[in-house]
Amino acid sequence: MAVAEQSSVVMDVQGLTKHFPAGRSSLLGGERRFVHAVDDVSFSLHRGEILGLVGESGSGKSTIARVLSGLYPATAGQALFHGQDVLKLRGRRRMLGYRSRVQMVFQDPFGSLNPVKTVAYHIERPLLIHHRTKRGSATRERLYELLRTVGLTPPEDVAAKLPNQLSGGQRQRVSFARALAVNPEVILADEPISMLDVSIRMGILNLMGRLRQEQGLSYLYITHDLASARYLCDRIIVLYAGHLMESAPAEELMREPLHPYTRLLLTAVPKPRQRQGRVRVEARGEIPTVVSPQPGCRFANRCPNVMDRCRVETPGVAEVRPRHFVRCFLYDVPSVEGRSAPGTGVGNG
Amino acid sequence: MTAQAVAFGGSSLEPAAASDALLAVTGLSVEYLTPRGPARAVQDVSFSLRPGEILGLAGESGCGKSTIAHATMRLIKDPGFITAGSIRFRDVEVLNMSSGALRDFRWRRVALVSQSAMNALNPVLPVGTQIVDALMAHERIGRRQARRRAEELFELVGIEPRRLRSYAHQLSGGMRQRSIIAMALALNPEVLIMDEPTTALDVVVQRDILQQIEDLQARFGFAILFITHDLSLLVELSTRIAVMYAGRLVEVAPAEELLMRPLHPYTKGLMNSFPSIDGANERLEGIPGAPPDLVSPPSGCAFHPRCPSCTGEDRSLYRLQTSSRPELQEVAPNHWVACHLYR
Ligand SMILES: Nc1ncnc2c1ncn2[C@@H]1O[C@H](COP(=O)(O)OP(=O)(O)OP(=O)(O)O)[C@@H](O)[C@H]1O
Ligand SMILES: Nc1ncnc2c1ncn2[C@@H]1O[C@H](COP(=O)(O)OP(=O)(O)OP(=O)(O)O)[C@@H](O)[C@H]1O
Ligand code: SF4
Ligand SMILES: [Mg+2]
Ligand SMILES: [Mg+2]
Repeated sequence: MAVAEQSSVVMDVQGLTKHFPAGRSSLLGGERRFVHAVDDVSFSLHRGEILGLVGESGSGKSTIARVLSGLYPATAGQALFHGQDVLKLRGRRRMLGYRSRVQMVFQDPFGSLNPVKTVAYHIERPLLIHHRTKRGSATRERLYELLRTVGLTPPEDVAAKLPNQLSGGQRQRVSFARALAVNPEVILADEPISMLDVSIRMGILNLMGRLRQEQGLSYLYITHDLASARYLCDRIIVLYAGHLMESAPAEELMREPLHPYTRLLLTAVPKPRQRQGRVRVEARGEIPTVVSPQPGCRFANRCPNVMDRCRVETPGVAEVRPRHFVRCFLYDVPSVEGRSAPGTGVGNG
Repeated sequence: MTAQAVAFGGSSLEPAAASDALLAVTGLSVEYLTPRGPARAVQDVSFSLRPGEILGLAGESGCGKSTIAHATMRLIKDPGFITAGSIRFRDVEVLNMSSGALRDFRWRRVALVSQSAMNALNPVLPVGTQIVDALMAHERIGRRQARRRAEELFELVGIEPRRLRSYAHQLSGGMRQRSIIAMALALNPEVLIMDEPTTALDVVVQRDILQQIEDLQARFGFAILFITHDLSLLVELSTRIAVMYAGRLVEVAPAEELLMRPLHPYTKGLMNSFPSIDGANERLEGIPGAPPDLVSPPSGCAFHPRCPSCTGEDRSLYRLQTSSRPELQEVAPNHWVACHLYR
């Protein structure tokens, strides 16, 4: 912990696992089954770092963010925030203290704003709760300033609106402004720009970049937009069916993807300028939700490189190049015995 | 104004268009009342949709895209009002439909995948029950058959049919979005309006679903209005693209043409602000300036305060840009633009 390099680690996540109950295997009782939404995911987030989290829809991205923000209890693993395990935080006051330093931007801007409260309420409330400002003109000033920062003008008008008087992208920016309000150290941003056009999107991305630079703000940035992940992120983690499949510096991941799923993902990105025509995605496989997983690679039934071994053994995570981690038997990775248990991942993404 | 109506009602654009258009929107205007006055969210918008066509609608956040979608379904609620225009579906005026006809129109004829899809499922019923109920309410089929159809639809959008038993909160954002797409497809609509349907989908799933929808479209010939901020997606997907700014259409062209030869400075700006996954990773600025205020929009061309071609060097052009609103004109075959640079 005393090592200088490690001192800049803000959040250190080890073996994070989250299972949801999924009923029983038969109507007459049977064994209890679980959706393995996140299995044994490890990474660390440094001060001023933007860490991208990309992957298949349903692969566990939102679950990771929700567990880290204390909304769901974890099944296993630990998440040290400045050395303290946030998965074991108890008590309202501690939780409140944590929330003022780690803020979440939710994926669904239509479900995450209270429909009967104004924009002003949504942004001023955290300011007041966390005593960032006193009620009155200072709060108003800060509110208007935040709205302007995210391009919601004129702020006086926007502040008085109810969520259903805003467009999708406008709500998304209200959510982002709300997270910024308390000057947090970390923002867990779940698809914060998915409804924004390129121009406003660039504004928000550049704002994220600037706050990282000026205030050392760190982000876990969940996105489907690989181009924006490349533009903004220092590192990118690729998730598939609850497993960390690859993790590497952003540029390297784009240039030299190692995992077959990452490669599939990159070929599917629209590249209108190259006029390559449409890429038909051939790997239309069952998109797995993992209930009671069997041993084997979770990508095996869609993988173009699948080998016999992949169906019976589960690949572990290994650092196959400096700071480049991958979970795939095409590389020299260990095999995880039986069902994956916490603590098997060595990936320190 | 009339030029626009004629253009997208069809007659001058393509002689046969008017009669074979499934949906023809003409001169549509929508306002929201606000304390400062009416916000003109949609102004004098015209377009038509033919069977088998995919019309893409792009434009910045808050420019009125969802408002067009809602107006087309007659779903605008107080304090919003349709103040002008006509919406004809198979030559029947939607704005005059009785409530019975409207109900039939909304589900069986035109289906909407709304932007709030992620939040649109009933939280206290399993998603499967919701699809089955909808099928049984609108079509003469039994529960078993409806169940089977629901399973097929889930398969189609790439969710395990087992998941029909899940409640909305147990599904990921992308799964909820896909459930809504499945529901919209359930009754074989003739027009499908999709408002940002893929914001929670990774590119692989997105491609897969769009392929499935295109295959269905080839089979059944329905028309699609596809709304998204993602121009690169539209360029691949659509037959034609309409670009909107501050409530108005500013450019309409075949997809390929728009990609190769964007004319409106706003469209050009959009095309130039894409980050990409290859090539140099340069800083991009987007389009400088703030989105316009819809209550008191800029005079003349609404884009002029942000337009790189509005410099004042050419005095007479500048006077036009700042005082007179450009009309949509066909400046090349099927390529319409509203901009004073193309007088
Ligand atoms: N409360 C819950 N109860 C049961 N299952 C859940 C719950 N929340 C999530 N899941 C399941 O966990 C898995 C991961 O979901 P998650 O929302 O984390 O995915 P995601 O990566 O964010 O996907 P998307 O990109 O579609 O938003 C999914 O199979 C989902 O159905
Ligand atoms: N009920 C309402 N009252 C007042 N203004 C409204 C209302 N609903 C929408 N607006 C305003 O109308 C404009 C157009 O909204 P609309 O939802 O059509 O935008 P959009 O193009 O779909 O944007 P996005 O891409 O962000 O979803 C926005 O500026 C919005 O603030
Ligand atoms: S472990 Fe095997 S199945 Fe899995 S990604 Fe690698 S090659 Fe494919
Ligand atoms: Mg999610
Ligand atoms: Mg919208």
